[in-house]
Amino acid sequence: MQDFTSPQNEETVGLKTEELTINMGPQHPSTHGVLRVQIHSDGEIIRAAYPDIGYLHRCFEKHAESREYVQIVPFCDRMDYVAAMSQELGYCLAVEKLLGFEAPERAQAIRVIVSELQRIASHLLSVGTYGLDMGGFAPFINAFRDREHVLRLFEEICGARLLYNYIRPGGVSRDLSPGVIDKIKDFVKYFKPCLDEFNELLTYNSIFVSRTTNVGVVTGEGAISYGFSGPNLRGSGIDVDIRRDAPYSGYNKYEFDVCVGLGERGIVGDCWNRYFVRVKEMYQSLKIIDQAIASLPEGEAMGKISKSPKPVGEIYMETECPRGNLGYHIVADGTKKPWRVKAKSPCFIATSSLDEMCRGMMIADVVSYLGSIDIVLGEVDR
Amino acid sequence: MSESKGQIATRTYHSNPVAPVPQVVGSAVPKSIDDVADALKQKVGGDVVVAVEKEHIGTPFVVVSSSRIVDVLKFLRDDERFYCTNLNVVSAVDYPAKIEGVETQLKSFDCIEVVYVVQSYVHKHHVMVKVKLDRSAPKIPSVTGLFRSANWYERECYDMLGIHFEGHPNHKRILLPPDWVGHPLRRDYEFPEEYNGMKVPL
Repeated sequence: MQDFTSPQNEETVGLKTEELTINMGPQHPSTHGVLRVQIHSDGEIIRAAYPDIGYLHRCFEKHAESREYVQIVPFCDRMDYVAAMSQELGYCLAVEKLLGFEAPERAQAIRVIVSELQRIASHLLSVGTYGLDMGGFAPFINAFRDREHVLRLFEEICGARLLYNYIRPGGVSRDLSPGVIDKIKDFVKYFKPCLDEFNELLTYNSIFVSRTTNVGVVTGEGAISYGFSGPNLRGSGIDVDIRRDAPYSGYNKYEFDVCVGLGERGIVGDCWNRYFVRVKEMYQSLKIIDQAIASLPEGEAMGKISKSPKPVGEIYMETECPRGNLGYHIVADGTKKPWRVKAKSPCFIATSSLDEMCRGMMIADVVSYLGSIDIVLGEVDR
Repeated sequence: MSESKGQIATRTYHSNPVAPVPQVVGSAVPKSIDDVADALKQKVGGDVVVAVEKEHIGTPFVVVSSSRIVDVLKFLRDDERFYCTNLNVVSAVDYPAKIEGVETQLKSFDCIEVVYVVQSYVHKHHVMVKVKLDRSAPKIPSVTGLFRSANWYERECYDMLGIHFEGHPNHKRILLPPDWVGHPLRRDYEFPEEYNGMKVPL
């Protein structure tokens, strides 16, 4: 019998092998945006993967230098265009803190309701497209059907489906109408069985489980060193959540669990656990919305605040967005325009882990890893 | 194998952090920015702390000397009272020379400030550390050896403000194209009229 493994075999003598360079993206369906990854592969094994970002760069930070504080809110929407409410909330809270102002209680409760609805919409997009990347079309359709209901609620609340400009420094731009409150209650009732259904459809599907478990394992220490946050960090087993640890906007009034990857399948820190943290968080969001609607206080939805505020000071503040901790570093110099607005993006830093994590993986697993860290390129590039 | 309906929603999900947690008596954890400055003076060096700012509205911070930034962040990361294992952000701000006649209440002039925010997940606190650099040739040691996230943060700072991080393993532009001229977040940046033969609309 011929020994094909021996290099001295006469049929393999003179055969040359070399590394193959593959460009994944910028128009690749599984990169969820315009991300290019330059992959150097040895057969199916990846030797290096260099992410190339900046295709969507608009330099929001430079724009912010020449706009007034209130005019910057729409720019924040356009960073993470699938979770715009959460982006606005972080910015408005930072500006309010500089002004020493606290939004009225009703506005705070409305902010919690809309940002938790936004978390559901964003996670649905994330887990739905993740199912699609792994080859399942039905979960994607289910997720988008339910996400559509949330977007319609937002359309009724503020007139826009994706880019809202709803949360402003001082409160929210308009109050919730009684009709919308009933519709949100109906949605919560409707969505819970849908989520159970989604869970049965995808989470324990054996193909999905074998594509995602034990792939792209980030240890707890590695996740902290990479600066992961949000569901990515909790998927690695670190029990951290700003909503519980440093509550803002009245989150301390509501009771909810912080969902951590426990390794029900695979091991803690792999793609499946990051995915499952998102599914579990949607249940918690429903719980928070339930409580917030039940205890919605009466009063003003917009506080008495100047239309062009002139704060002084310097602040760094983080909030818990669907994709992780979004931080704003604002230097205010007492004029109408901020001196510097810097946004710390959780997706940016999650993308930076790509090279080290992908080395030694199969090419098909890059799709699995990219989907599980849930990046939005608008926020990576800003 | 599938789990029964509704079981997911009723379980509680608290668990212990994976990373080792140092046991510290409650009173030893620093409460204010003065405690941070005192600890830095004692453990890292008397000359390391340049200033402590806590009067302004917002986040108080400590200004340290730029050559010792690696020691400072290493101390904050490893000391059990701080245990700031997470680097939240590396931000940078450009302050031009003082301009007469413009009403601004800025406190720094004619320098570039690099801002590091480190956070502890165990003690639930964060510390803001600042460094002031010369505007003409900003240079600072890289902290990529301490935090892996520093790699891209520092590249972004170089891209936007032209700060050189000495010892950075991959010191290149990240968001802008490699042949871009200038650093946009400098206050004296002039917008280009054209890029690669294309007119830039303003």
